[in-house]
Amino acid sequence: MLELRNLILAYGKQIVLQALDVSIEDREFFSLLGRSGCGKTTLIKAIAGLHPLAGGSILLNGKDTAGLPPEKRNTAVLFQDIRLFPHLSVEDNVAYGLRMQGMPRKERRRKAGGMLEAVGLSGMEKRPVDALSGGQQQRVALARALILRPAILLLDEPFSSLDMDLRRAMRDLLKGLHTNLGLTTLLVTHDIGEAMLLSDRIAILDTERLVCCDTPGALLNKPEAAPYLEAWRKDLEDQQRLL
Amino acid sequence: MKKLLLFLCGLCILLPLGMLVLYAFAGRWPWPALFPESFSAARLYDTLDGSTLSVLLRSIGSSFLSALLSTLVAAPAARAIACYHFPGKRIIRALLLAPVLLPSTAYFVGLQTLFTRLGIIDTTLAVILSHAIVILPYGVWTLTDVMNSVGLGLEEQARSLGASPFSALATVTLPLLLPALVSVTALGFVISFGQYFLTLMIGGGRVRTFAMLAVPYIQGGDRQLSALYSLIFVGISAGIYSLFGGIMARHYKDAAAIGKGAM
Repeated sequence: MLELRNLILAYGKQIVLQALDVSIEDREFFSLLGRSGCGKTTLIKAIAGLHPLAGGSILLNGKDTAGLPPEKRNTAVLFQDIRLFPHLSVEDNVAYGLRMQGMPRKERRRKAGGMLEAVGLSGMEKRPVDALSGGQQQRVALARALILRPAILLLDEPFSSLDMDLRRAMRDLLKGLHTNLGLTTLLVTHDIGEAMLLSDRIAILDTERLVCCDTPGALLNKPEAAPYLEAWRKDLEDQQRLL
Repeated sequence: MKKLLLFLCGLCILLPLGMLVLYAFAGRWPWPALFPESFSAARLYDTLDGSTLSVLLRSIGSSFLSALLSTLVAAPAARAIACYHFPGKRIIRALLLAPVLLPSTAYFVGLQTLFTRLGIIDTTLAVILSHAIVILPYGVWTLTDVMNSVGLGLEEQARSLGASPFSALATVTLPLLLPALVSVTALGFVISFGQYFLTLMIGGGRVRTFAMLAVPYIQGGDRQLSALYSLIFVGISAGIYSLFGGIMARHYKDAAAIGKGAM
């Protein structure tokens, strides 16, 4: 379980998130929806221990993470820009976290092979990552994050650089893995459709503050969420008209 | 047009080198013959006698140490400049580039005064340090651009996957920086190996490097001897550069065979 209590985040003297209170339950798929530049990536980094807090606290399974370095948090991050290690093969990228844990080579290979199979990349173990397509690279990044069985999987707009078909395929894969592996997942995105399709609950952020938080169905009836859902509704209506 | 330009560039490099080879290994070359009548390596063996060879080897060693020391300072400095924001960053960057921005004579006099006060003037240590300082700006310049492109993102990713700060640096950033670090060290070696005036000022004539031996001969009237020294100079610099290049080529060949040794 992840709890953000009265969280304040800043870049230098500029506050980017103010007094954020959110709890994410075990095995929940939770999305934070907000426009570009509203502090979503900073929040992901703060939870992972890669950005300092200006105030408040982050609790992971009831324990305050203050002072806990990133490598001790048992979180895994999937960044928007993928961040595969270009000098390592697909297999070495996926097994990187296990290598850092000191797991023997044979065991690492076996686990990496299993994880690559789960994301549909069997047989690509020895390939250099720059020989893969964007969608395949994203799958490698996902496998690399999931192989550690993190307490919470943090997703920073991971599919924004993919085309529509790949996006849909990755969404399905992620949803399947989330359910099968019993993951707790936090997705930050500006894509309302993506959040609506994937999430158990959605929180909407706007200029430093939390506007509302509820299940996708309940959000549709909340007046305070209406302005943020308007564009998405219009898109859906246009699509229905075309069909 | 492109081929012609390449040919002209090649000619500009190869023609003077060819002349050096002709002068260095000419046996009998009576006037007005265009080329020597015979060739001989006897003068080369005379030139590389015991004491010259020992100075040459010591020069290679001290230049390598200067280059290595400079790279060790330049790498973290470049990382700080490229990846972090801190007060006085512009001033520190300007100071790091000072050895090439300031007039070299004024700078060398400052170094001489400093080393005299430290009591290390006229020693090999002072020469190595002074060379490292002169090389530093080139390292900082080159590595700042590389650090900018590598950034901190991959290290952040490694940390989030369980790597300690040191492990993230050693397993992700350093392998990516290795080609640039090797190139900067090779460049530093070449710059240090060719230093004459600075070595004379800081070493006071007591620290003998190959440049100190070669320059008087090159400036003297003996064309064969000056050609031989020049060739050794060029050969060592090109040889070291090729050696580093070869090491990197082998490294990448092994890496391309994949697995890349991480598993």
